[in-house]
Amino acid sequence: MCPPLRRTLVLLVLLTSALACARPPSGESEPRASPSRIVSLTPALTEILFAVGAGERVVGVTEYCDYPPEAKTRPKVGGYVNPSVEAVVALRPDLVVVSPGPGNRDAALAMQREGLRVEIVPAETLEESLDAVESVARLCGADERGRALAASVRARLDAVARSVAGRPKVPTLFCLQTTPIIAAGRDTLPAQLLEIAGGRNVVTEPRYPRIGLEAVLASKPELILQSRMDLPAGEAHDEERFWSRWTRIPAVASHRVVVLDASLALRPGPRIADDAEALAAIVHPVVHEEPAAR
Amino acid sequence: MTGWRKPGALAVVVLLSLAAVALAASVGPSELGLRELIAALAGEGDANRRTILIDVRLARALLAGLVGAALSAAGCAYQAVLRNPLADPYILGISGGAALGAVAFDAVAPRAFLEATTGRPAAALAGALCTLVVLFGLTRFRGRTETTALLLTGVVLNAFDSAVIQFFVSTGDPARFQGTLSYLMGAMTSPSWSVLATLAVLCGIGLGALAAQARTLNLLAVGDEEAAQLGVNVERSTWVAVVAASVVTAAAVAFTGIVGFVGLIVPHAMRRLFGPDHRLLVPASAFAGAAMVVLADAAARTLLAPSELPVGVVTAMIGGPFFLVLLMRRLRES
Repeated sequence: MCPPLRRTLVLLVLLTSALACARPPSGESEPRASPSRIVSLTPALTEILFAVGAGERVVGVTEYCDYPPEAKTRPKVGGYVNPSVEAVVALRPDLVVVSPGPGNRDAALAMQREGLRVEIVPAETLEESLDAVESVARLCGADERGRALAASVRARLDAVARSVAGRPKVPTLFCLQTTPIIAAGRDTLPAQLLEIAGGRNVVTEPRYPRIGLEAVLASKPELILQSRMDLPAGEAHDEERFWSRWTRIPAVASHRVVVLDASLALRPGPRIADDAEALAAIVHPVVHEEPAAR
Repeated sequence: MTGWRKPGALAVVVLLSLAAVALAASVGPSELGLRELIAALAGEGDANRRTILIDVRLARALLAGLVGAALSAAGCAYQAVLRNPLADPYILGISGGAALGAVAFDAVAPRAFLEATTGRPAAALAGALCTLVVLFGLTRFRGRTETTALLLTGVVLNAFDSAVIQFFVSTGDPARFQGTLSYLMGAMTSPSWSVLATLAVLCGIGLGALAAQARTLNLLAVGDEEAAQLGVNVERSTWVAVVAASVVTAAAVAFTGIVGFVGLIVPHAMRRLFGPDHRLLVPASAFAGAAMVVLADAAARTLLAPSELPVGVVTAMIGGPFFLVLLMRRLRES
């Protein structure tokens, strides 16, 4: 590159950054109108936006925002872990919502530097999911619907818990992948939903630990819930064959290795009530037919 | 050490590796120890215990042992043939090819038809062997192979493979690759006995070939010209050693991902103990490497039990500082 051109470029870059600095920051004090162009960088938040009636105003989503089906028609701004700052800026949103996730921090900060209003809404655990419903609704001026939706999700979760109350807790392994084995640990969303559904998580470590077969054998799960985040429902799962070797695991011996539909109980958001109901049907399949035990 | 002492030391290393396997099979999160292990081997005790002790722990310890032996002997051979003390089993791009095979499998394989537990290792093995063919095609000119060309080609192949892996991973669904990435960091599992037998056969052939080449390795380690003057068919011997070392590396990487540092430090340590004679060095490296990976995996299973660490993390944490100490000693001596 010849020197004068390079100098011009440097000058241009300096000028634009100076302009960026000069732009007034989106102050906390000024009253905000309800946003009309919303970009969601997290699938769970996309679900919430549509569920509280703000779907019409969603102008950009990630490639993984696949629910509700209508969300798939929105322009894509990149993946969950690597959203494109440029694509988001080009959509001229007046609100960007994002949950802290692996690798999206830098992108979110860059969007903020570009003057966008970026709201960070944690949505990982059960409580966070419920809070996220209300806070996302509040952010787009639908407070009332948010509260109502959160309340109905909560009520449905309570109903699931009641329906299995008094049943013996089924020791369960919620397994996310098999080579190596990674399972849902204490206080994670899958474990919380499992417990509501009348199961007892055999993994006591926090988060998503990598565990050995010996630990699985020693904890004697009577049910293995095998999830696959990467597969749509109905596709063949080789995990069943992985477990079939270990007939000393009670769940394997009694043929209670259940392969879950993709993302069941893994995605925080308004559908967790559906997830809890589906899990309860798996954990206590005969809850209505079984004669009162003993 | 002179005379009978070195074979004696070799016997000690062999015993140590056996002891390592016994120790590894006696520790684990479920509090079953050596006594239960012996009972289980004798066919006593309840079936659940036998499953834990034999199918879970012992099978895994044997897998770790085979992988350690393979990597360490391969490193020893590469260091001799390439005349480079920094050569390790991964230097010729074999690991990169295996990793690429595994990632490509997870990215595009039709799930219904191959399972990850055997399909991924098979793809990794295929990737590693393809790399070997490419290496052979690229580095042989007019019937001759320059070891420098071999080394450089290997380094570039590794870099290229990792770029393609990055491409797959950054354009694909990250959820699809979660298993792959932890697999590549060194994923020791409890293998089925048929997997173990497959690996044992591959390693047996490769390690046997290397042991049989030990005298030639001694000459190649001095220099190609010197070896040729002493009647060695340098071209042929180089490739026999490279192919044998690559096959065992490929088999190891295919089943357990990348377990770093073993193939680098164990041959160095054994060279200090046994001197430069490959007739002792190859078997000593194999057994000491087995012991190291078996113990590292036992640590990986138990340190944070019931959570597990990737075994590659443990070998690197031990291997890195250990290699630096070896290096410092050598610098001080020279």
